[in-house]
Amino acid sequence: MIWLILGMALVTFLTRAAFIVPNRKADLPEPVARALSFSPPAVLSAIVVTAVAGIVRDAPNWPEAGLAVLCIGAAMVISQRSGNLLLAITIGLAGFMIGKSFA
Amino acid sequence: MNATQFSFPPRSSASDLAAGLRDMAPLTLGVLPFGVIFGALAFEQGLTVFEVGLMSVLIYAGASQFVALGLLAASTHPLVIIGAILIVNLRHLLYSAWLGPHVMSYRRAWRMVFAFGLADEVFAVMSRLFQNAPGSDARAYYLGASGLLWAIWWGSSLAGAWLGQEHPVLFEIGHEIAMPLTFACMGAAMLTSRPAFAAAVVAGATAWVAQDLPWQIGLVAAALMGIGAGFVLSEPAGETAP
Repeated sequence: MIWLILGMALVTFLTRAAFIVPNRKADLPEPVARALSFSPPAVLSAIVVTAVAGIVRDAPNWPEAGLAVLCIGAAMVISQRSGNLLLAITIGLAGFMIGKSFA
Repeated sequence: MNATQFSFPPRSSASDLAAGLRDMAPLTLGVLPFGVIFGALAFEQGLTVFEVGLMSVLIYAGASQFVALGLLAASTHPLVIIGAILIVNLRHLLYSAWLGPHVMSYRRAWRMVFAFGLADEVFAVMSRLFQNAPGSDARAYYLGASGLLWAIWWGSSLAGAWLGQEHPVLFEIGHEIAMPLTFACMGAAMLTSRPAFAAAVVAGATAWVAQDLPWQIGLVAAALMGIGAGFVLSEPAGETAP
């Protein structure tokens, strides 16, 4: 675990240091910069789908997996429309807990 | 984020430090709950309180740390985790390329300090510093802004790990979906353009199709496919059609 943490710290530092620590001025070519700007939504989406696939696979009964997908979807819409991350997460989590207590 | 008051004009290093603290303070309110959630989830994931603190002190990148937790939960190969962290961190290249010219006159040791703490929020406040108060001491301002955020980040992570240890019942309910839910909401807030939307859809579809590949390799492939989709559908900067 310690080595994993050190490895993650290193790759994080390297991406931040790339254009600051070396002694030369360098510019990121426009196509590269544009491609990089799509990495956050792509990575997050891939992780969410992977995690949901795990929930669906492990779900002892279908209603719970369906409820999870429903609550996540609703929270995404709230987050996208309102821009209020904490509100969206709170509502999604509350919906899941309430729904589960009825299941 | 846009509610931040910008404090200027700073005149001395001490007032630049204070300005950095003042400009970062409102942003820490948004970071604090995520630090607590991170700490609690990490503890539940089997990390010790020490390891939780070490992650937040050394990595100091919220999105990457959450991603690492999600992958640890799915028993991913360590090298794939580091590869995924690298992809999540690629946006830092943009911040780095932007900050580089502004700090190139400082000594290399100082530039390493700048690089260590270049979190999203730090980039956000510093980009306004150079715009609004170009003559100020970037080192002092940075120490105030990034130092405060850093302390809040590992402090809240430790608090979350401690809460998870002392009161596990608080986090038991709904823990199955807490992590994907948090990510989904973060991601949804980024869907502000058609190419970004396409990047998310293509990445998600690829991840679903490739979910059975070993060590979550499908996740890295999905991220790359999504980035490609966004790139293909976006217009080069400065050449936007009327």
